[in-house]
Amino acid sequence: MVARPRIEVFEQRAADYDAWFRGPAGRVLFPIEADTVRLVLQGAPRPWLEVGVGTGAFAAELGVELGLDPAGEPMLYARRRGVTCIQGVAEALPFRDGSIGALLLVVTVCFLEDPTVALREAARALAPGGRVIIGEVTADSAWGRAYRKLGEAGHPFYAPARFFTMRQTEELLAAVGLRATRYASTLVQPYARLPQPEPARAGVAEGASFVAIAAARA
Amino acid sequence: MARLWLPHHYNRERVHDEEVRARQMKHDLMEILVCPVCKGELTLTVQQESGDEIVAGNLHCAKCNEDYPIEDTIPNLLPPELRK
Repeated sequence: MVARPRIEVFEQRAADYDAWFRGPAGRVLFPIEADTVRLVLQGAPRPWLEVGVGTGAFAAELGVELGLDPAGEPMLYARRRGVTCIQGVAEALPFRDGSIGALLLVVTVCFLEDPTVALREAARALAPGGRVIIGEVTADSAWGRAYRKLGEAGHPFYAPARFFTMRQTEELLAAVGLRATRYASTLVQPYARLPQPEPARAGVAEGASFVAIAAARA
Repeated sequence: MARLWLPHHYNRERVHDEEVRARQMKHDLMEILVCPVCKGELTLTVQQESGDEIVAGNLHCAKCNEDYPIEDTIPNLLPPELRK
């Protein structure tokens, strides 16, 4: 039995969610977060799949050809952005063993009911030499703490999110036989409603709130 | 076999590469899709096509005796208990 994912908010508010990418915070954060993910994605074998593709902004920006999401409504946006969409859940992937070169979870692990089940599926679907790529705001960072507060105050998108520290993410990966091989990071600035652009950095910068991790089979 | 994805899919590639890659992916997509429950083979039935694209159809898992619909070009491979 697979738990019903916490998708209702994304089904009902796809337009609001997609508008974030063009808003005052999103239009700064989205490109630097995409650049950060790109640093650990480039060179991975094809095909590339984004699990939790949503409206497809990251997938389109990063040249990811396949997208999976339990919510149908946001994928209508992803499809318009040229992403091949498949409705499904991370916990029961409809992909053959060893078929995916890069499986991306960009700001998705925080919304999963059971990340361990999802990551076990990701590891199963991974092709030889493939990478599972996680991009997340870390729980113990300035932005992670701010998002958690927003969630506790009832923010529709942050309320269902559960953020992890980088160590917790590495433990989740290790539990399914994956090992982190590359890191990149950004967002060393303090939380602000109107963030400033900043570069994506290889490795984990001191104080970085957004981290991208590429993991391979251990 | 008809394609399940949009023709403008590889919009970042050069045109001739795009055609090569799109053909390759057309083959690959049915190659990589399996039943989300048992990971068994799926059999494609096309009900409606538009150009190269499958608008409506069905993916059948013989092992689970389960049908996964393709609606509005998007295959619904949610596990049966999660489908509305």
